[in-house]
Amino acid sequence: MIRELILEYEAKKKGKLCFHDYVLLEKKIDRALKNENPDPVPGDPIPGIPFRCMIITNFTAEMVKKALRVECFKLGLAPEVVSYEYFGIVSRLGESGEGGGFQPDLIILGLLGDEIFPHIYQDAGAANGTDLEEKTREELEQVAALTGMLKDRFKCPLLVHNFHYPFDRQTDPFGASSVFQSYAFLNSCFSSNILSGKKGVYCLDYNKLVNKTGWDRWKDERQWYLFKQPFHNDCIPSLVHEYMRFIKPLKGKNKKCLVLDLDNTLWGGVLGEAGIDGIQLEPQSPGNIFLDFQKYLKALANKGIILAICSKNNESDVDRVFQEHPFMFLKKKDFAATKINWQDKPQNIREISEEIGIGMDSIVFVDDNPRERELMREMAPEVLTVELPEDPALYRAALEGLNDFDALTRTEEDSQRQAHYQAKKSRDSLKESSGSLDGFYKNLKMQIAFKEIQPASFDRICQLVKKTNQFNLTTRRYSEDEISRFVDSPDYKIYSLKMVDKYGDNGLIGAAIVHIQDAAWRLDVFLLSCRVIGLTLEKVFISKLAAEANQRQAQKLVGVYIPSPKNGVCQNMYRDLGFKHVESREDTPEEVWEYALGKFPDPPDYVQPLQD
Amino acid sequence: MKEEADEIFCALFDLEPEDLNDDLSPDQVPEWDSIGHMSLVSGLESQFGVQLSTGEILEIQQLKDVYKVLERHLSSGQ
Repeated sequence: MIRELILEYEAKKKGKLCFHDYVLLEKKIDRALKNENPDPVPGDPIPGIPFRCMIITNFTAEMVKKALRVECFKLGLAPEVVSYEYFGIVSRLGESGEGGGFQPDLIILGLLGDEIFPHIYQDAGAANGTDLEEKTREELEQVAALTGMLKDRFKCPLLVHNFHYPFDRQTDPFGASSVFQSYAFLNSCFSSNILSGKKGVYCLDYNKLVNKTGWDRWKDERQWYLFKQPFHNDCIPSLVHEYMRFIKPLKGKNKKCLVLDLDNTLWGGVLGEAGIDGIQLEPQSPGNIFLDFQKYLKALANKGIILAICSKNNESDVDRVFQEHPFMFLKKKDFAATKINWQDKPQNIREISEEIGIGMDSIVFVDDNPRERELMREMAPEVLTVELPEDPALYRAALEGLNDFDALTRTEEDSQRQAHYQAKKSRDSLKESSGSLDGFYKNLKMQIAFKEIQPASFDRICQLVKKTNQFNLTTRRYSEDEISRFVDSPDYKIYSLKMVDKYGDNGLIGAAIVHIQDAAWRLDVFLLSCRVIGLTLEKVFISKLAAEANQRQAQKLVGVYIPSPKNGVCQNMYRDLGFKHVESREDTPEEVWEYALGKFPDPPDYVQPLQD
Repeated sequence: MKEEADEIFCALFDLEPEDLNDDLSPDQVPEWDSIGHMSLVSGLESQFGVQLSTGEILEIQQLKDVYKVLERHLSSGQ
């Protein structure tokens, strides 16, 4: 209920929440909780998985708490967050009873170096040499004592900030080295005294976060002097994002499997169109984008993330890429499951989830095609569908921006997981998709224009005839001159289909060349661009052709299918559209299908005529 | 400007528009404590795309000061 409230608000803001949104959301949540339980007593359960978090800082963490609570609620947790002041807690923890009966699931220790190590962070207090090292060690021992005490007392994981670079120190070409040397010393002591060898102590890379954001954007002097909060409110969501990186695996909410598309995702271009030599994948630009992306995915796999493929392609073509492409970095054995077929992707992902034996809510779906993403969100909302940027150079950043892939411990098993699943992988024949897709098609708001060839569409039609491999029933490659002759001939008619949907103008995506033989309209060429495969546009196109033929007193449509190594996707088209099989000859694999005109079904109602 | 500021004010402090008056101060609004004040400043800054100075953050003692400070920023063409 609370989770829905957050998701609804997020949808309204198109997924982009600023800090003020978190403040308002927290208000809404608290109001909703109050409505449910108007008179709460401490200890009353709130809906969700209990999660208790203690934050100890030497700065004001009140604002951080707000965003943290909201993010926890969004995950389906019921958070209780308490915060303490660092300098106060050290002495009070010794006394029994401090912290009450509060038993945290996680303690976050966020300390700013500025006040603990003035000899490093402030020019006025700067120290040098052994004095500096001694002071640093002394202060860190205090911190180490606290972490030890917290571990003993609460026996829960501890997340400790590291220290940011002392940006406020003045540096000049002569003085810089002493600043970064003292900072380097602090870091190395921090690693050895606080982190290494301590089970259940994790590091939050605060320094990386500050650097990634940029110090000038990160710091906020006004907040610091007035409220003792060192960073700008706008930076709080990114800090909480890092906290969630730990909280997700802690509560079993991390993702385990990445399901990837192939065309324009693992390589550039469409394999079925460009062929193995035409796809972009090599150390030079622009193929280096995809090569690097594959390397990044391999690193994720080594971390224990399961990889799988879900792609609309011919499996034999893809196998050839795996076996023969010199720069295909990922190997077939890197994937625990592969679904390379023409079935809808939500169904494929369901099968992947069963095959591997993980929940749908552990899966992340990566696909460059916004329609596939929308279909997935619609049919399988429990899957995390990544909003991939249009520019493939930014794919990696989009995945890195997720905080869902972290595990708190890494075992040998994790790195072996891929091999494990590979062995378990079943080879069950593909099930037919069962779910109704009408809602998805409707939502695409497709508009089409069916037209006879015009001078303006001539070039594009010639191009489609020359290049289309996959959804091309006859793969007849006519030259421009031949097509010109068809245009002039009374025995031929040429039609095109254009489609616009909510994602934009797809341009001219279908072409048909009809040979008129008395009362029969023979579909000598019938093709659709690979961009629109799977959107039922063949049904629309045939229905338009049938109406046109009918109007011109034709008696039947004759469809021809000539199998090619690449057009398996449309082999059943005529059967599926209700054509009757009339002829297959021994000497050629060509199939001929017929449809008696007069009663061809109208195009599906989710397709509207295009308004010019 | 006034309506937008009022909206933020109401949302943060659980008030209705008819509860508002220029002289409203933290004494009368229980949630307008120092955390509430931080939230208010942050809300105003993101709504109006302005950055208040330390002095202005302290200057806001009553609701009318919110209008005054915003007026100053917006009329100076930011």
